[in-house]
Amino acid sequence: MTKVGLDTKTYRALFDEHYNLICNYLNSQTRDWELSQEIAQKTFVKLWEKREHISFTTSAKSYLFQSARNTLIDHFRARKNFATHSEAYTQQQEQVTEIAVADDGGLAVTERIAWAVDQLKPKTREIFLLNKQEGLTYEEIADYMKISKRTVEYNMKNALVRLRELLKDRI
Amino acid sequence: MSRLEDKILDFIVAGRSVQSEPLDKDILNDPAFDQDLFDEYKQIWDLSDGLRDYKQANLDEAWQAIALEAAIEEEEKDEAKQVPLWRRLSIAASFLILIGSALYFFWPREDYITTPIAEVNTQVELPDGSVAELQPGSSIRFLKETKFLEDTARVVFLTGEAEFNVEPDPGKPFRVETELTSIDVLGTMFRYKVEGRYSEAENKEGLVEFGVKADGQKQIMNEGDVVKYPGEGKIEFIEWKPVPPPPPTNNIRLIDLIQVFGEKYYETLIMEPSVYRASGIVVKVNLNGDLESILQDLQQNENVQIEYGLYRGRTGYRQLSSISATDIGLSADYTYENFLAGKRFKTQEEINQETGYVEGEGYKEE
Repeated sequence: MTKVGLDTKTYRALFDEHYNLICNYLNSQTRDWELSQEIAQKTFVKLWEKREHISFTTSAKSYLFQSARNTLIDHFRARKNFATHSEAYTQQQEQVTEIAVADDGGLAVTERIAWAVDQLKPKTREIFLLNKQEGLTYEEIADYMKISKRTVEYNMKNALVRLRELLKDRI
Repeated sequence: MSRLEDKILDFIVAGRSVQSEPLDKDILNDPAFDQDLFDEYKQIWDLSDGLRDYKQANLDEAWQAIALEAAIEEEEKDEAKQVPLWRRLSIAASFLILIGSALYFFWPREDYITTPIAEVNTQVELPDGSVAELQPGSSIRFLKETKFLEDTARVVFLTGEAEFNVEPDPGKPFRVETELTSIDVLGTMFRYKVEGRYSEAENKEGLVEFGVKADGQKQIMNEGDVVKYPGEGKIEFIEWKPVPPPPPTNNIRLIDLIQVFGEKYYETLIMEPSVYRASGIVVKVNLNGDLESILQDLQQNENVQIEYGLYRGRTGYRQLSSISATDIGLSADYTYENFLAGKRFKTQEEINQETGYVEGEGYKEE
């Protein structure tokens, strides 16, 4: 067991690196983005409160996922929705570690892709996200952006080429 | 991009790979067809569907809420005291107002576009597709679309600080000018900052030339190089020197490392049966790192060959790797049994002290 004392800088680095990932993990469990952010914030506040005595038996990321999951269960208990939600969680209980890690794996890849998409040129990025995130067809994007469908396809291809460069050896 | 690659992209972007349609014959029969290239594009295309459920939280707002709730404001304030940013910003703003006013009155306005002074980080796409990311308080001026493209050079005038990602065009140099200095490029990415008479530039990709207008001083900048010009005198040139990665903390047998991996990250590492004999070989890694940095450490080992792949499991993606290695006579100082017994890894501080490594600087010279 490795003892870790957290100073503000390390804590902030953990926040920068993992906060969004934790939010998305919680969102995958709750389908409630506002609640997910609230629970993620509580998770990080708890981490800070325990900073003097914290011990990571696994990586900091695994610890945060575990803590976020526990905080979520506590939240449901406190809201007296426990009866409704506990059944689902009990069913998941045995697979909890596997689920957390597996979901984390998928999310971490998605996060790297989101980072790469962020590096695209503004117009290309907008077109790519309208298709991949908002689910618009090329015709709908062309109509919305007042451009030709061919331009949409051209930008999608450019996006893919650039993403491949940016993600080389990263996924 | 080759014609074949273009056809592959057409196939994927049309959604035909998702529908598991067979590849067109003219693609498959092309002698240059590369299945790996196709798979890479298809993988990115498929994985990016994950963006549908992915959201980006507002980190600044979240941090403020957490800092308030956890009462960590005081410590942050203490740190902030060391950097009187407001003071520097106010001086910079005064200069910007002066420069801005001068430009306003003397620049021939009708042919130019001047961006509003950015309040937050702002991306501006230039007519040639180059992108300038303006820092708060900054602005650029450039010729309107047709004239910008027709001119013999692409010229942008900068006040403040911006990062440029320039579209390559060997026929048309790209030039960024400030009041006293300038940068000439062909296609590259760099950061350029001006505060009054002070200029500073950092080249991030490609090759650029920094110049002082008054005396004709020039400085070629390679990737990572930084120049500073105080407004008079000589250019200060800071050549980029790579900082070696931190030294590994432990020597460990591959088989033990894989078992520790399993305990720490629940990740599966597969050793190919044909190279299973390598399991007893000792490698150097920093066991304090996260999974990614440990895998990077492994790659730094001259005696290790490692391959990555993605395996789509029932519940998501898992990273898989195959490793082979050759014995170079290292002896292990940490084992899986040590891990189970709770023996801690050497800390980074301990190993840094042992090897004379300084964070961000590299190894101290004797």
